[in-house]
Amino acid sequence: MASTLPLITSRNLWKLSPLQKPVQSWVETLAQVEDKKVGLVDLHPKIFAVSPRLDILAKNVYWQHQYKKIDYRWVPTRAEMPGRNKKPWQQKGLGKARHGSRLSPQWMHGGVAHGPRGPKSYFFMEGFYQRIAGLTTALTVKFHQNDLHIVDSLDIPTENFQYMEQLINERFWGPSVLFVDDTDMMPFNITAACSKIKGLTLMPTYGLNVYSMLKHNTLVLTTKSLDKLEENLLYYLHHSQFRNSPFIKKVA
Amino acid sequence: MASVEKSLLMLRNLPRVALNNIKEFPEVIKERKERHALPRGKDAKFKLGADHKGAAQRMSRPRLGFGKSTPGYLRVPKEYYYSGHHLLRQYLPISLLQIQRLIDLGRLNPNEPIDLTDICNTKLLMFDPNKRHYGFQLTDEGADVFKSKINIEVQWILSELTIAAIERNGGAVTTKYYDIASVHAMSDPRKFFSSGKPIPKNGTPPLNAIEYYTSAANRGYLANPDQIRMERLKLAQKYGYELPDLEKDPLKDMLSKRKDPRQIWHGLEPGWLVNLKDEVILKPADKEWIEYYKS
Amino acid sequence: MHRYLIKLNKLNATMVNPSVLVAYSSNFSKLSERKPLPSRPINLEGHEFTSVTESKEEFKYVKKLLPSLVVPDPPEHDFYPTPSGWVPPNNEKCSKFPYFVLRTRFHNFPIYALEREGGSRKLVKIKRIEGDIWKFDEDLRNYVEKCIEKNEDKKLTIYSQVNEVQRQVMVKGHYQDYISKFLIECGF
Repeated sequence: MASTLPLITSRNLWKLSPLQKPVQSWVETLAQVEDKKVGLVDLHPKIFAVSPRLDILAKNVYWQHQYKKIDYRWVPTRAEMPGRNKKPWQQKGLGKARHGSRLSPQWMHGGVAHGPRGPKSYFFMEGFYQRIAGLTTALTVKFHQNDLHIVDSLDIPTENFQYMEQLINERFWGPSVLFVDDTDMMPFNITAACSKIKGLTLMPTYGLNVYSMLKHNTLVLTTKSLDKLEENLLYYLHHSQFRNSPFIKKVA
Repeated sequence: MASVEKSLLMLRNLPRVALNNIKEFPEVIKERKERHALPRGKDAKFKLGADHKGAAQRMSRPRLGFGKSTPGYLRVPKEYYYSGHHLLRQYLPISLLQIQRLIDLGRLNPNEPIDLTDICNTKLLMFDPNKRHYGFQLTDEGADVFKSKINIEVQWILSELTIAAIERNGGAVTTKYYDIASVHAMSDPRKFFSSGKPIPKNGTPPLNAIEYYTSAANRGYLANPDQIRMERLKLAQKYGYELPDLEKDPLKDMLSKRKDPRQIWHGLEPGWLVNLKDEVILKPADKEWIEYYKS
Repeated sequence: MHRYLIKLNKLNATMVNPSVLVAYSSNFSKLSERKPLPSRPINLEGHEFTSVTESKEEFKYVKKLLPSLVVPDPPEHDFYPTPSGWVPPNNEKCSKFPYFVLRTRFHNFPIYALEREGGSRKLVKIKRIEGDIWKFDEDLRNYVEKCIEKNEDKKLTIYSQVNEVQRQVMVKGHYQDYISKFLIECGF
């Protein structure tokens, strides 16, 4: 499965402004342990050379954590406590404090006045363009910190996990690596090998998210997933569908 | 040095960006904390801003309008000038300058008739039939710079300057009424075709609009074509331009395309059912159906 | 999806049957094709439907109605500026400056006139500025001040605020006409 010939050296970058130059990346293979470059490709600057807004990354990570969160805590009020709500002793004459119920909040084992009330969902959707900005920022950050590697395919010669271990150590890829390909069904060898090592994740392109990209030290994209990713992100950066505000001013 | 390039160069030398070293802007964090925080200070007693004791704290104040001798619904008078305001038709304004800009940028095709669907498809304006938007009205902003020859169909025109500006360049204008079912279909054709309904038959205009759409001065679709020719001459004389001869125009066929009063789209008749997936149109073959849709 | 893959991966390699993989793959690929179940069973027997004729020729009219979802590239014109006042970016002019301003996806300038505090505070925001934003700010202010002197015979200082992180400049006063002239002259 080793591809010895040099791969694509040119890629068509869609909607490239002549004022912005593309960034370049090596294309590598997983077919052998040694780090051999197989090609050099252009990457779109609107995705891989974006202003590194770390606060947008933080926003996206917060969103990813919060939108799935449901708080199941529920505590009864004095009305929902089990038992009868009887007046404990007569109002006057005993010298004791006046009380109407043993279940009021000031009593021990009484109901809670302003406690958590039932399943509470923290669901919200971060703005559409904030989420796109999050993805592009994460990709630029990974690229510029030498944590992004582009690979021709995820085919490896054996299913032994030692092969993957050696490969990762040889290339100084971090202990956690995120492999991204365009399919749902990954090749057998890599799934078998990665299942044995903690920290290696296989993911389809549509599963790519800011949290996973930051959690894993290294991001490995196949050329196929790179094409799909660029196509989708550039489409959303250039489509005419969602408009936030109507055109009102006559400016050139 | 470009600010983005500078910051990306800095990134190369800084530690790896991970989940433990990114943070949002302090203002954002503060705002979020304040939004989710429990009330403090005078609000901490959960009185929701009410005074101490009394009906306010005990949530037993009367509802809005009540509490005085005469309740609100009897005190506030009814003004009949606004009756039916919730049923009034609205027309989103689009100026000649905007149309010219869309044509310049290739978002509107001047070689085809322009109608409601084309303007909605540019997504320039937030057109919503659910808000009683019955179509577009042309305004005269940009009448002096307008230079395209177009066959445009809008729903309302207030000033004759817009009509003059279009006709001076050899174009054609009509105002056409679409009822709300047709407008729903026209504003989002893809959604309409996916719903599986046959193309609707356009309704006749309501009583308060018949005068408008039958007058040639407004280029109404129900007006007499001879009267429209007269009006074109009148405008040319009034605004001082020579009326271009449309007979000799190479785009004569396109400029003279007009829709039937019951028709919504060019080339498609009411009653037809569009199958987007198989790219086929189903037409009713039954006599009754054909008669109904052609009436 | 990711969770199912992990479960599959954690199985011992020898225990995984190719048939299981095939079953998994067929499930995953059909997920996108799965239709929602109908609320109640639709019985088409006994219904009389009107007769129908099919036609494929008129479908071309339908295709014209369906919008293109991507913003088209502007066509080539003989003269610039176009009748509406649009000017395309001029790459030769742009390269002389240490900054540049990217166009919006609708090929217009990223200039936005704002009114805050009930309309009493008038601002103009210029976005998407790349390069030396401080130089851009200086040049912009000088240009607008000159424009005001020429056209309105007033000597005013223009106040502006640079937001380097978000690559924006906010100018006080509704001078969007002069600012757009500046951008056209620079060829952005």
